Amino acid sequence: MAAQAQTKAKELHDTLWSFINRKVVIQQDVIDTAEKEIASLKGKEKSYLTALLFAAKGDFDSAVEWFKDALKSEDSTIALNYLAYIGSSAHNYFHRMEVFRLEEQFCLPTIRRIARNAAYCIGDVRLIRSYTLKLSALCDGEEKQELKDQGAYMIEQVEEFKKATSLSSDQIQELCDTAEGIANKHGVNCIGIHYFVNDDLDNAFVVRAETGDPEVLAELNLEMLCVLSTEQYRSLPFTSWFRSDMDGMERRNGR
Amino acid sequence: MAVNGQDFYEFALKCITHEDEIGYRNAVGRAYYGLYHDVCSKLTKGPDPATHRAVRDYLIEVSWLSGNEPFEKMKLISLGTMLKHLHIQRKWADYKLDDDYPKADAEAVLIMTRKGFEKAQAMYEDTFPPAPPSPTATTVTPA
Repeated sequence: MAAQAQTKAKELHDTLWSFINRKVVIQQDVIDTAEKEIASLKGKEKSYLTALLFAAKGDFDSAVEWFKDALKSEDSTIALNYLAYIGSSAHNYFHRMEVFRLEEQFCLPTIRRIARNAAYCIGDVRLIRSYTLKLSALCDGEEKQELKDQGAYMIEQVEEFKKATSLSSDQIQELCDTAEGIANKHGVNCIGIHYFVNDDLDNAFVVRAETGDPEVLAELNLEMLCVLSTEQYRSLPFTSWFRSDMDGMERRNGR
Repeated sequence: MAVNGQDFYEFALKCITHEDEIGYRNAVGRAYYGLYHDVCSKLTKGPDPATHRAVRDYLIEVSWLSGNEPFEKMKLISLGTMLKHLHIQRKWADYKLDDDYPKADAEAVLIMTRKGFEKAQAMYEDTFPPAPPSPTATTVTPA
C-alpha cells in the first residue's frame, strides 16, 4: 500500500475505534467518507476496516462476519483487535468461546492471558492451570515466577469459593453464564469476577459490570435475585451481584 | 419504639449525600438494617433470637411451612433471598476495603432496598388489607 493510502487507512482506523470505544452514534458524513476510503482498499485491510465500520455503526453480527473474513489472513493484530471489540460489546459468552478458539490458533501471550482470566471467571481450575503453564513457559526469571504466582492465586481463590459454597466448576460456569446473560440482555458488558469468601457462610460471586447507572445495576441485581430464589440456589451459602466497574471503559477511552 | 426500619433507610439516604466513600459504604449497611427491621416487624412467628442468618434462613427454608407465616411462599422466599443478598453486600462494603466502593453500587443498593420495602408491604397487605378510610364527617348547619 502506498504511503499516503497507508496514512489514510490509519486515520480511518483510529476514527472508527474512537466511535467504538466511546459507544456514540457515528455520523452519516463519517460513514460516507469511510465507505469511500474502504472501497479503494483490498484484501484484509478492506475486510478489517469494513468490520470496524460495522462495529462503529453498532451492527455486531456484520462486524463479526467481516472480522472473520479479515482473520483468514491469520494476522495476529487483527485477532487481538477482534477480541478487544467483542470483549467490550456485551457478548460475553461468545467472547469467551472466541478467546479459547483463537488462543489455540495464534498462541499469543496476550490471548493466553485473556483466556486464563476467562477461565478464572468460570471457575475452571484445569484451564487456569493450563494457560498459566503455557504463559510461563515462554518467560524466564522474575516474570515466569510472577505468572506462576498469579495462576496459583487464581486457583486458590476458585478452590476456596468452591469449598465454601459447595459449587462445582461446572456450576460456577453455569452461574457465570446466567449472570453475564442477564447483563448482556440489558446491553451491559461484564469484565470479570470477584470471588468473595467470608470466614462463615456469607460468600458472593460478584460480577464486574461496565455500567455506572445505579438503576441498571439494581435491575440486574433484582433479576439475579429471581435466579437465586429458585430451588437450585436458594439454600446454598452464597449470593451474587453486579458491581459497577468502569476502569476498562475509561482505559479504552484513554482517560 | 423510637425508630423503625424506614428510619434506617432514611438515614441511608443521608449517608449517600455525604458524597464520599465512607458515606457510600455506610449507606449500604443502614439500608440493609432498614429492610431487616421492617421485615422482622411483619413476621408473626419470626425466630428468637432474630439473628441476621436466623431471619433469612427462616424466610427461605421454613416460614412458608404450614402453621408459620400467613404469607405467600414465594414472597417470603424472595424477601429472604433479598435480605441474604443485602446482608452480604453490607459485609463487602464494611470489610473489603482494598477496592474502591463506587457511588453507583450504593445507590443500586438503595433502589433495591426501596423495592424490598414495597415487596414486604405488598405481602403484608395481601393478607392483612388496610382498613378502608373512614368517611369524612360532614358538618350539617342547623336550619
